Amino acid sequence: MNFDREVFYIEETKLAQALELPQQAFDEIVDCLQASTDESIQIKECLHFVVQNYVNKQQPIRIFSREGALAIASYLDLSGGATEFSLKRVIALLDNYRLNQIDRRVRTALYQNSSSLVFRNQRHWLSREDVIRIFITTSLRLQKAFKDIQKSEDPMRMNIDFEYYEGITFFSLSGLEKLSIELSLKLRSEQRRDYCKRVPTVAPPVLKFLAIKPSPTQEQIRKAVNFAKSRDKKTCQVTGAYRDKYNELIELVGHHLYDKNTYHYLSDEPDNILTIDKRVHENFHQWNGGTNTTCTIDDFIDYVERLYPEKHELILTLHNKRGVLMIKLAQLQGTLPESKD
Amino acid sequence: MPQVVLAPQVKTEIDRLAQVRQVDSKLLEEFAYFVLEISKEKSSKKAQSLKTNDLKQAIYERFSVKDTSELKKSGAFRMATDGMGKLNFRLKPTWETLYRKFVGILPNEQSQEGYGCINGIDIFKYFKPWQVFGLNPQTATKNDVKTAYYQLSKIYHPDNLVTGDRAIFEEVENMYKSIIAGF
Repeated sequence: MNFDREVFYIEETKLAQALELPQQAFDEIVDCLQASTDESIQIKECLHFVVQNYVNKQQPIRIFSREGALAIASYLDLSGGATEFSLKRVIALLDNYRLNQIDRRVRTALYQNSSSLVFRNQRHWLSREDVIRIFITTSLRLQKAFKDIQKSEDPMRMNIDFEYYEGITFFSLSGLEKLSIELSLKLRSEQRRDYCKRVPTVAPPVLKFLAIKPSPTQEQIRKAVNFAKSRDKKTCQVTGAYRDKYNELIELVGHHLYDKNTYHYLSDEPDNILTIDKRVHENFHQWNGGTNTTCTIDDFIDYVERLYPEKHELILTLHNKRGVLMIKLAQLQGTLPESKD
Repeated sequence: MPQVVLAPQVKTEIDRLAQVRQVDSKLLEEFAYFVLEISKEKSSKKAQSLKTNDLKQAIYERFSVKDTSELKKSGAFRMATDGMGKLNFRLKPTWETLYRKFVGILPNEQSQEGYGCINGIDIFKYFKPWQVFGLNPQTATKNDVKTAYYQLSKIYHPDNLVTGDRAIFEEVENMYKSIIAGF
């Protein structure tokens, strides 16, 4: 089922645990509140929760929104069904989910915008452009933050916190930390402040990982693409087209399901490469916003589902590949901060 | 009777000010004695160095952690100390270095004098350009920074055969380049 995972993200098992209720008792309360005619306590599908799946027709697996979790906690509080301790645990659970959501956004921003990461003079450096994108801010706002720091009692030190290298401004990790403090204190939006505040927590393991994981060479990538083409019997996996005497114009390419720039560590992974017709390849990237736009297997699945909805076997294969690649990503990302929930 | 004696230059300046501003010279003299007494008292009170535990607590507070174990895991700390090499947390000098870098001036290192000290700051231990240049960061203009830098350059530039010092000049230059980047 499609639903907004930014709104509905609280798993019912975790909510029941926080409220110190057995799953069955929790379900009964939710069923009762859903069926209630009293508007003040009634909880509604698509507002307070969505049904993610059914074990059978009577047993839905629900995913709650923040409003939903608070509505249930508030009902239990008023009816005496929850202790003060369990209510605190619900609040802590919601905070944890919120932090994890922020961390996920920070992590994605770091993955997608750390291509300039270099190790020079015993320090890790990121270009100003990457730093702007990591903080999801503007050049002007970053400039203001930098100026404010330089006019403080603890300014950034040249060649330690920032440097000019070949005409480009770079910030070291210590510079990034100072910018993070400045932005997390001075930005107007609370949401933006929270985001910037989490950068120093999420960034070190991600950047360490990106810095130590060597990028495969062009030769390694080429070998992986050739391997994938042979594996796919030199046939486009979307259209089934292949080059022969009558179709000399067919040109096959190896498409990186997780794009090779952002996810460079997966670029020589055959499971991440799919043989497709060059025209399909170009069409997909145009559809996805251009060749400079990052892409994942989810984008490709979405593309195939919309443009080739009859390709059930391919869609199923892609979903299976997604599972495999997720495991590989998780293995490669072993040094990343653990999820807190 | 005051325990300190006014220097002849101070007396001359008092006379000049008294004449120009039409102020009672005795009043100015009293004020000069008052300032000297205070500075004497200050210098006589030898500031105690912080204990290791106090240093640790200040660092924990700066990085919002409870103990050294949490500090080592703190992302912000790891970022802030990137490039500082391996830190030995068993040694007090390590904590002093961290205090100087992330908290402020150690109580026993306030108003330092001697080699490498400018305006009371040991420039080899602290990066405090505004204090070294004697400027208020909130009101100083780009020209003020330049003027302060040129004044210090005249003293410490290696070309100055009397007071020149390459190491000090390089530190001052780094301070200048760092803060001028903010204009």
